[in-house]
Amino acid sequence: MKTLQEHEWPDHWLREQINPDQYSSEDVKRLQEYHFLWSILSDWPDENPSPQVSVRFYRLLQEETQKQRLLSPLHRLQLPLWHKIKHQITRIFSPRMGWQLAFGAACICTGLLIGRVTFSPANTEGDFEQLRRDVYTLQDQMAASMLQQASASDRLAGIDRIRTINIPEPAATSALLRLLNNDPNVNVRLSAADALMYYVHGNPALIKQVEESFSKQPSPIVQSVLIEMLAQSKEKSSVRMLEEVQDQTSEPILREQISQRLQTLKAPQQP
Amino acid sequence: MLAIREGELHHLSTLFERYQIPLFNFFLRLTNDRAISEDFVQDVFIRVLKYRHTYRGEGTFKGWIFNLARNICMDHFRKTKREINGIEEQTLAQIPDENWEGTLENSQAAHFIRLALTRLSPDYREVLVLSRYHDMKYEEIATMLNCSVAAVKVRVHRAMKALRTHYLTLTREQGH
Repeated sequence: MKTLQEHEWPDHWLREQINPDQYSSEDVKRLQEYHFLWSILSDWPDENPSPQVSVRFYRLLQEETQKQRLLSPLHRLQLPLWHKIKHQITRIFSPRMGWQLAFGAACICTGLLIGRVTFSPANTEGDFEQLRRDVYTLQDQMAASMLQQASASDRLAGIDRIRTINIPEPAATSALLRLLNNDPNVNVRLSAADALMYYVHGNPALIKQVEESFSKQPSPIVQSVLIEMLAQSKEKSSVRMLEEVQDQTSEPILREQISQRLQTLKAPQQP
Repeated sequence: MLAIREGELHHLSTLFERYQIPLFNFFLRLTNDRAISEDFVQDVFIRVLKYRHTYRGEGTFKGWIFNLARNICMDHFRKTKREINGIEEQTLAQIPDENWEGTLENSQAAHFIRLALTRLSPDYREVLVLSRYHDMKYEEIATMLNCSVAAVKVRVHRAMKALRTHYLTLTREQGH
């Protein structure tokens, strides 16, 4: 005869048939009672809430959607230029970023100071040039290492460094294109596209790569920046490509933007 | 839910249509108050929006949303101190054994069992409501309550003992 442990009871009263030979008469009786109570419990049908619940929910959802739309990147794209710049500044220059920049600047200053103390002013112009190259190399390495950071804000800061310290073109454009094509964060891709604007003038090879990158972009915001870039390049191949995109894109905003840029490009030049 | 977490909030309406009735009945069986239950349904979806970033897609969505619902209810019980005294273990032994099964009409029995359920302590009530009315497995309840499956079964058993006592008391009070 089986003695039921406390945690075994539910499994036993849930059985369809309770075999009286397995348990004491006391337990059989209790199991039958629980079995009965358990079955009676089901006689409480579901009730419906009042329609007011739905009304309140959909009002809440509408408010939340509205709030989210105001914070969305697409909405921010439509904001005035000053708001966009302010947003970028607050995003990039976080307190942590400030400490990193301060540390970098301190390292550079220390290096310069050591160089100044160690080498006499009588040293040649060649030595000074070497020191300048070393500093640039240090800055290049710092920017390159920031681009490989796990944090998106660090990568954004790296892009900003590329702009600030004027890294030579092939190195800068290849790093920025790599980010534009591969970075998972839309803000990083957006910032990389923005930075590439500085290098695009009179650079057909880069324009070609930007054209190739366009079709890989899932985000309409990044595509919008690339359209600006291609329109500014005024290359024939870019104009052709914009016309094709205008026909194929499902984004009305992009279609409108391309239409405006093409009109400007095709308008007769004022004397 | 993963789409909602990524910001596609319009999908929340699908979840609302699917879960508003189960959640409402979950609250109704725990609080026995329609107005409070309706407020709590709204609170659940406010929390879904607020904590959507914490959803990892592990376990069932049903378990996740009912966990939010349970927390709301337990907060309510803590605030209002509407704890109904649970049955002491000693008094359970004092209930005389008699053949009471089937002495009432089913509709009467259902009425008394519903009343008896509302007299249970919230801890006991919730395990019975989750397992009986929402088809939740003991494993799911254990995950929700952060305890072992055996502990859930013990709690269900004690809840049934208490329910039986309340049921018998009610039927005697009514002269059955």
